[in-house]
Amino acid sequence: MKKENSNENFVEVRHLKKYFPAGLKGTTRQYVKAVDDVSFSIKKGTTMGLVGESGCGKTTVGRTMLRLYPITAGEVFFDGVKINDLSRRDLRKMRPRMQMIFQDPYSSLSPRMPVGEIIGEAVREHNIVPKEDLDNYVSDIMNACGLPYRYSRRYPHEFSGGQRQRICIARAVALKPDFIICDEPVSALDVSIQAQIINLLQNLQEEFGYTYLFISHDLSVVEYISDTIGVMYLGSMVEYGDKKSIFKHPMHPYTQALLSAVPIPDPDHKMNRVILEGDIPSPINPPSGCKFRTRCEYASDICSKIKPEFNNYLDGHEHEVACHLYPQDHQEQRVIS
Amino acid sequence: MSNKENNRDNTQYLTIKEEKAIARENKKIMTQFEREKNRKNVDESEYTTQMRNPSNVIEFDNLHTYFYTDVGVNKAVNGVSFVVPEGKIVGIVGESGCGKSVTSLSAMQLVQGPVGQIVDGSIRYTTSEGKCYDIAKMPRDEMRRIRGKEISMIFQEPMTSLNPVFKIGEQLDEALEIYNENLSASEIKARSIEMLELVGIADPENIYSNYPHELSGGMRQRVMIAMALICEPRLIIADEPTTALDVTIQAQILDLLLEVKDSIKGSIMLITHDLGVIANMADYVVVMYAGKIVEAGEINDIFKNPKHPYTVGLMRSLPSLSNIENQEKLFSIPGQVPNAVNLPDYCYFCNRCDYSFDACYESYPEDILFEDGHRAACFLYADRFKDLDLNRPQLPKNIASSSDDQFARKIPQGRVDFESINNPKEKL
Repeated sequence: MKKENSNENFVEVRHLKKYFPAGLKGTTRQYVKAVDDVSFSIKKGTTMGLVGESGCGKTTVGRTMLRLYPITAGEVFFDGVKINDLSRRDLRKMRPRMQMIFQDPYSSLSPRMPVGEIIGEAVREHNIVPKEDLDNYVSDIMNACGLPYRYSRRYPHEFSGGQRQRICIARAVALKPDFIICDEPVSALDVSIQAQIINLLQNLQEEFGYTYLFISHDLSVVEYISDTIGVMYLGSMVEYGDKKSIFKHPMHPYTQALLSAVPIPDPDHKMNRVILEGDIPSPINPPSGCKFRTRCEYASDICSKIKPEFNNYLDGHEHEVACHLYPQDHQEQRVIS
Repeated sequence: MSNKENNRDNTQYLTIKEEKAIARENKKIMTQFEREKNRKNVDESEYTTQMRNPSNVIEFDNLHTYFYTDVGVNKAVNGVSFVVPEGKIVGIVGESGCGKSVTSLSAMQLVQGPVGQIVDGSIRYTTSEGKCYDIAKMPRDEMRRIRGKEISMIFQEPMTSLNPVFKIGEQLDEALEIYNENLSASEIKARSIEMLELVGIADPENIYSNYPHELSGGMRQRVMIAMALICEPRLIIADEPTTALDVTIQAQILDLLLEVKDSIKGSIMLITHDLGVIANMADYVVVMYAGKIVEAGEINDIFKNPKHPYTVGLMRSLPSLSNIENQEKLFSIPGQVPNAVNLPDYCYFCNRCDYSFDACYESYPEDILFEDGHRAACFLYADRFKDLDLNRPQLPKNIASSSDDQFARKIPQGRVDFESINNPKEKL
């Protein structure tokens, strides 16, 4: 059940930057440019997938959006509210509406709290339901997430990986959020459990109309669950748009390489893999111009000089790509020295 | 139905008294096994056997590896038999905890003792000198001549399996020094650098004197592969070699594995839970579930014509990149893997299985042979139930016939001609 009435963007990120200081104090400060000018928007009730290699800044985008990290530059809007300017008290009021499911269900649950307490703690803190209804509410949430209520007195170590991830989901869902950031929720799980969790996330979305930002490095999962997709490389977005369009016509060489590297579970499948040479460069000194040029087989002189601009080349699709293989706008060409 | 209810709740509590009794019992058994393994001057005839088929590199026969824990005996590997033919890649798939890693550790005699013990069965291996040994019965000292030199292993986590306090070069040299006493130090170094070059490390001389933390994940995995290959083993056991890596690096490493396999003419036992990796790499597939093999066969049999409901379920639960058009709900296998301490005496999968019937709750199914060495342990295909009207698992069309072009995705390379997508003239 996707809401069609709202065309405006529920979550919007504009030119988000997050730099972490690197190196010793006193020496010339260098910065790890973990997120470097990322913009995207998510419509209400839809899912956006964020893909990229490890170290490309996907998780940092998610955490910075929730202000779990202070924002270096850029703007984040959530339901019309600018997150940057919120005071601590206002931010705390917003917190229940924006939740996060963390990657590792083994380390993100307190080992000393019973499950009912883990799920109920934040509910109590934020006064989501009256105190006397708390137990019933936790029971409802646990049922919705496929956990029998009789487990509520148990501790996390008594559960398997899939069940723990259900607890993490229940904890996020219990606050009646509008927006959930799923940071690699299935990458620590087995295939058969992975499908259970993905289905649970989708059922919850259908029932309560959640908006998801789904961060993952597994393209097949992202393709399954997302409506729009952003591909990140070394802190920047290289391609962004409608899922169908991106998977049908991946335009950026990095997206093409990423897609072709996914092993297809079919022995007859002809592999025409584009094998990328080398590793991801250091985000402290990213390459000039287009960041991908050091591993790109189509790189030419212009790629090292000018940073490519985002442009839409396909009619009727929301699909933008930043690459010099395609004609760039002539308006202003920023030469990077 | 009552069976189903009981099984869902696998955790059971023991009193301290019960636990102590189990521990005492276990200690007796474990000391006996340890004494057996630590014997000196064992006659070679005790652990020499004959291969069933001389073209196999290694044969697992009814292998049982148990862990004697304080809560009971964990039957991690519970009667596993398969072979690795020479020059082939055998893939072992299964969920975490199904015993695939313990099977491979048993072949290296690396199961963590005294808790873990090979209890029964044999692992037959022929050395390059032509002697056939039973690894399961080999004393510990003798095993050192095989481990690393004849059979070597690539471990899952390159971050944790390299020693952080030694340079890459020292760690590589060590293996050569042990097995080739007549080589000089400079020869060993030259060989190590050559090995680093073979696994595609640019600037191997520099890397030789680096520490592991200075390398990226992909580079560390390459070093691990170099280390495994340095003695030119006949069998490489790759235990989830790419699980910790990104897809683009994974593609590099898989290609490298195929290349080096040919260059040293070895065989590979590839352990992974990623069916995509298996499909691209393996010649034979072994599917494990809760310590037993549920299905085994050639790659095409397993992927095109899977028989066991678990294998079918695994295939169907994959969100596949190749079927973008038909977005139906993802299939998921309900429930969880049973606890390996309290395994039932009937089929371990039946309480998660959509096709189970009365017989499944009575005894463990025997292996049913299909054509060409394809076997599955499931009553659905047993002769005595042939006439029963059972619904047998059906594969969705897109998997059964994905060799058709309509499902295979073509990924463009380089510049996409967006003008022709915007104005599809040719189609008109």
